[in-house]
Amino acid sequence: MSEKIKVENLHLYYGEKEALKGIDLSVKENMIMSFIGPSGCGKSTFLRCLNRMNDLIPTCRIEGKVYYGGEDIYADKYDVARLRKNVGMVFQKPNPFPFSIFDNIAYGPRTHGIKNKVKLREIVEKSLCEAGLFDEVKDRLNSSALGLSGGQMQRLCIARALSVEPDVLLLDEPTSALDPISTEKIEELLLKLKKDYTIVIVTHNMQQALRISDMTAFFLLGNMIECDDTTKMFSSPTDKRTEDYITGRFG
Amino acid sequence: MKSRIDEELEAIDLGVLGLSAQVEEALEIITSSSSSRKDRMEDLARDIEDKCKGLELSCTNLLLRFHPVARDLKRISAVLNTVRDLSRIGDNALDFYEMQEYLSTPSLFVEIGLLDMAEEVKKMLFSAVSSFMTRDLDKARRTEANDDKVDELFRETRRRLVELIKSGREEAEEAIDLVIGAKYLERMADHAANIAHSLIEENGENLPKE
Repeated sequence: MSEKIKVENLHLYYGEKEALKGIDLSVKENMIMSFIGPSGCGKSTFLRCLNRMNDLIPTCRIEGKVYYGGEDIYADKYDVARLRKNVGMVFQKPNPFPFSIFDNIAYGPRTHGIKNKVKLREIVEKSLCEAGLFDEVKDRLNSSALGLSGGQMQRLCIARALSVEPDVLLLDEPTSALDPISTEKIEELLLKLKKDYTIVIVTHNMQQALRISDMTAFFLLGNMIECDDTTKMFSSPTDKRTEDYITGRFG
Repeated sequence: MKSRIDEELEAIDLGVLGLSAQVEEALEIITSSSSSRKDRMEDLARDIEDKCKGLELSCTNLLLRFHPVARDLKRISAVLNTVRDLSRIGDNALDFYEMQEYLSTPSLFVEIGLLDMAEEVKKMLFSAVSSFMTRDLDKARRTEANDDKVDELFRETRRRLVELIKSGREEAEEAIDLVIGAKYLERMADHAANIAHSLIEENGENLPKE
């Protein structure tokens, strides 16, 4: 498997406070990588570095390199809009736009210049199918997305990210606000999507990391302590801090 | 402050200790000639079975509630294996006891070496459980190696039984029961070696068993 994202010696500062300390990481394509760690350890901050969402925070400063497709995404004049098209993001709380289901999905492609109605229809159907939502909403695409259940909204948000044809999906605790059945559907969806996309997920649910991820990275106080094959990490972690965390001795 | 899972693992460890004490008592019975053996053995067999079921249930509940990983999961796996082996030793001890009850020449038990084997098995069991509870890897390795000694005693017993059969003595009729008894002891030693091996595996070593 080739490398999709490579991070070299990444440091992140919120003003004077160093929130990420010298992170090195490689994400291979068509895998699911989980980030785990106690609250405040920097895993969501690090996730947002991968598509420059931290640019939106005025006090945030980055040192180091993040390569996507071989290019440093923090280089001068790097096309950030293209980056965020290719590296999509789904957040913890489902955040559908206050539009119809159809328009939620079509929004991204329209923004990128697709106006043809037939083409848009195809994209919306394909995205909803990929997200496992089409059969549930095909008869009400013009109804408000705000009328969907929590689990459906989250799948809509995944479909919305897929509509612009990314090749990486970043998900920040995508199921923490969902019931177990919705969680299971999202996990099954991610396992299915893995064959076509590279997926990075922040999760507090270690059983979720065990169930769906190929690799897991453990973060603590801004450091990445360990990154390894998920089964190996959860059966024989190398670092004692990792073992103490995953066995519930702290965190 | 201990975590909940630590407290529950400690309780399980105490349960294993209690179970092993009962299995050791069963081995004491088969090496003694006390007249109260029968009642005690029947009670013990029941208690051992109940305790094994209780420990298996405790481990299963712990797996269900805590979803343990890493060292905790390995420990529970080792405990489940140990409980199974202790249960088998208890079963074999009961079978051996029942065989003894049918012997009309109890002195054969000593003559052909079964007492020596039984004493060695008792030592192995004590050592295996002790190493398991104290996480003493060196002791576990030595215990596992002692299985060879019991195997050697088994071969010696078998040789003496062959001599007994060839001698044409009246007691030779009991040779069949005695060889089965020797096999029970040999199996008990194997299970004791398994208990030692469980600790070795728990620590990530996977030595091949001979």
